[in-house]
Amino acid sequence: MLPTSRQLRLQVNLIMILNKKKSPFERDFIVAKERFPKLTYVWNAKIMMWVITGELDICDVEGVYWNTFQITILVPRGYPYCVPIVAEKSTIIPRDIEWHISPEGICCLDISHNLKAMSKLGIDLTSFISEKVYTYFANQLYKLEKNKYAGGEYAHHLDGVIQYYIETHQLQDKRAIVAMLQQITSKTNIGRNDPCPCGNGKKTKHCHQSSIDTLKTLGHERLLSDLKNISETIK
Amino acid sequence: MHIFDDYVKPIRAAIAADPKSGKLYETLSFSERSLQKGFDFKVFNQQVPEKRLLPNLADFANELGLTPNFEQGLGAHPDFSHLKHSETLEDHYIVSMFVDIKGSTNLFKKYTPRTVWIVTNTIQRAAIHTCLIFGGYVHRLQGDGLFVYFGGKNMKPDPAVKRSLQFASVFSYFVKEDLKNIFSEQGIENIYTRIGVDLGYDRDVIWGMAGIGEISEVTTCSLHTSLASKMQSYAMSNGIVIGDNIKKESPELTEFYIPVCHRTQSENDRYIFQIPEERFNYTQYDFNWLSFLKRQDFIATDFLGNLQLKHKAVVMSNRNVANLAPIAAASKPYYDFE
Repeated sequence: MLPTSRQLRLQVNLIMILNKKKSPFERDFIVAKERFPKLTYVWNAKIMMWVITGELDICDVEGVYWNTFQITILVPRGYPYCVPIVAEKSTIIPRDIEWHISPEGICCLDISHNLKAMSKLGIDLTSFISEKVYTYFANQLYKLEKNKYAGGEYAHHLDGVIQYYIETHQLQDKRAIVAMLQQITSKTNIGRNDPCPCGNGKKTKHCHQSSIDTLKTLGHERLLSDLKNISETIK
Repeated sequence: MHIFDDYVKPIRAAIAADPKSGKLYETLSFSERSLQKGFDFKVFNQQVPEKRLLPNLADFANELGLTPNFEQGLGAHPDFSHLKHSETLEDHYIVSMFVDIKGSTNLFKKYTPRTVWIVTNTIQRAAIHTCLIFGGYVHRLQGDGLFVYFGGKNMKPDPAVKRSLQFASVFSYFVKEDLKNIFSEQGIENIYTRIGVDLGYDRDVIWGMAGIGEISEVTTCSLHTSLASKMQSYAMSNGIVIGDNIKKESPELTEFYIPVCHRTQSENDRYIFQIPEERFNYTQYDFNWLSFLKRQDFIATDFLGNLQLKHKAVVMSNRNVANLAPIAAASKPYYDFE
């Protein structure tokens, strides 16, 4: 028997309610799937994460296909305020520290400071995959061909952290980094018209205001840890 | 995807050379002039050979590891051709597909019949060539369109269904994306496809000779062949509608099938055929062919979301690592594991 118009209306309402009940992750995955159609997801209640698995095809700017990576992306329940973990399941990338991948295939997409700052603002799944994941694997293919990365890389461990402060926040050296971190982590608030902690004599608002705002989002603990570790290298 | 680029070229050339299009004859290339002025069938055949795939499509077939069988005749599926002039009937499953190409009549508004002939024949040859790659049998040419079968005695129904959907998707992409660009540039209404596909099982399909003497063909008598034709008329522009049996035979593709009534918002469109006394309700579904195509092993989606053909079988001569750099340079990896 054909459903009545009332039944149909109820059906449509039910679909709308179900769609509304989708989590931000589920809604965003629908969009991401258009760009990355060979990825699928399941919710893993044991680890409380969304587990995205599948193939990521890499093409260049001319649309020429290069290779396919089998990947897994673990997305914490707190999406979009989280840092997903990305692992390569295929073994195209050599499992070597120089390739920025752990023996288990976990990919170090970026310095953790950048990832943390990004997560504080809230990530968008499609942008995360295209800007962090896709580019990482394209970069690995580039290195396989040219034996170097196209856009540089961070040094490992603490040296990479120092590099981050110097390159991203344009601090001259370790002493400038320490001075900056000391000021930010101290209880005194840095006013916009105060002299910039970097020591160049300009007002903060004309100098490192944006960097200070970003660094504050990384959390007190992270900054204190960096301050301690970098200070120890100066002694 | 570029697999039909070589088929697009003669269409562009014919349109550019059309006297009604306003391009100065003196500016035309030799082949353009030949196509237009002399309506030289030989030139057309050189540009779009009957029994040879054009290079990009040949690469595509190579990528899939498939070889087209050009030795087919209309109205004579090779597995059933022995039924011609016989009094035997056979029961055997078949996938029936109607590919309708709509909008070509609009071409007469702007182009001479010769141009229209080249355009429609090129599209039809592209359809036939693609169909043959996927192992289809062209049963009949219908105007600009085709009536094709998939499957036969050496193939089970499920791979035949998969092949038919792959063909329909690839051809729809050609018409929707590649041809759209040409016609939108020319400011004329688009040409589009409407495709209906259905599967009849052994119990549903009778093969035999229809007609008399030489006015005959070996064809199917099946509800599902009729329904494929009927479903084609329910498809939207560049759409594919499939029947319940296709869905049953491809359970892994369920996510790509949505009952037609969801689109039309009319419950009357849910079933394409009903026998109330037998409680037989046969559902028709829109097939999300673009999503299906994106998931195929031979397709990659590039950084901008465009579909690209994977070339695994051959190393691409035009592969240049410098073209990876703009994407790769945005990444700056780190390492912080113990």
